Amino acid sequence: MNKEFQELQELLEERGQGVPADEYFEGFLSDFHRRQRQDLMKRSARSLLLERMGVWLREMGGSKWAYGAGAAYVLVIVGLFAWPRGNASKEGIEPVSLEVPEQKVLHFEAERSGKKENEPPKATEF
Amino acid sequence: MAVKANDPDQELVRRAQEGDTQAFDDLVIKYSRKLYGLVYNMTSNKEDTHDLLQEIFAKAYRSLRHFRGKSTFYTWIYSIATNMTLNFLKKRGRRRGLSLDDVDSGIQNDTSFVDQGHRANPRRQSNIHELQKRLNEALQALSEDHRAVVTMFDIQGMPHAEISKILGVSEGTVRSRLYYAHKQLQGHLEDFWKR
Repeated sequence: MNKEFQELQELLEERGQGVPADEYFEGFLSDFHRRQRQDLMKRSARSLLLERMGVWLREMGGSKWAYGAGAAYVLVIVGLFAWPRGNASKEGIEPVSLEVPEQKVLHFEAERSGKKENEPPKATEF
Repeated sequence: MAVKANDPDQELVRRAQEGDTQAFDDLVIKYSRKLYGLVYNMTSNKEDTHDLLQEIFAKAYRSLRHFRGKSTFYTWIYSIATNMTLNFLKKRGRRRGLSLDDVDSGIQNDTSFVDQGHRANPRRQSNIHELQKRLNEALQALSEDHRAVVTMFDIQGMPHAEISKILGVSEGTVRSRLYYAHKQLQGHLEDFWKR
């Protein structure tokens, strides 16, 4: 260990010996109590809830991912069921009907060249 | 609740968790001096140190009922203090860079501080202010992570193992950060020593 390094360590140690006077720490505790009271009055119930949820999530460790994935799954499922269904026709998509469409009778025009009305057309005319 | 069996604060923590505010006050009194040293040596600013320390104890108070005793209370509250101070320094750095307004000239120049260190050594007393001023500048030039290990190891005398638990890094990382930080600090003070 060289002389400079030793001196550096002594200088750093000296920094650790410098502390504020006792009065400071007496006032510090009083200030802490005052701030705690102010903090409690200011905080809304919502922010307290959010903070506690944050602490709870942080302290759950690895299991928070499982809980998170579960919560996301539940949200997706709830979202699918809760999604309004009546707006499909508004976008121009008609729902599919299962009813059979009415059958129309086809009428063939009679040939003007003197054929009878009830005579079937010749195969070559198709 | 399962507070670590060899935790000297076990009883105070248990009482504080049950809502005894006097027990928490006792913990504040016990740790405010040590934590002040940690935060002040990292921020170099008295007002910031005071506010941060208040926030650290407020956070510890709110989180105490979730403290499971996997580590000692000492390690737990040091982790809170270190993380909050590192976050504060990162925010301060982003906000305005490091300006002279942010940094005090050093504990040794502050009349409200009781320094028992260099009075016994009159030879060094003439140089001590200049050296400490330079050391202060050198410490501010370190990254926040390096300053944290120097503060905990060299200034507060904590063992490598404790620092590694608090910072959540390996002991090897603590040692390498210390090595690099010492080199940087020596480099800053070199020209003063060569005079």
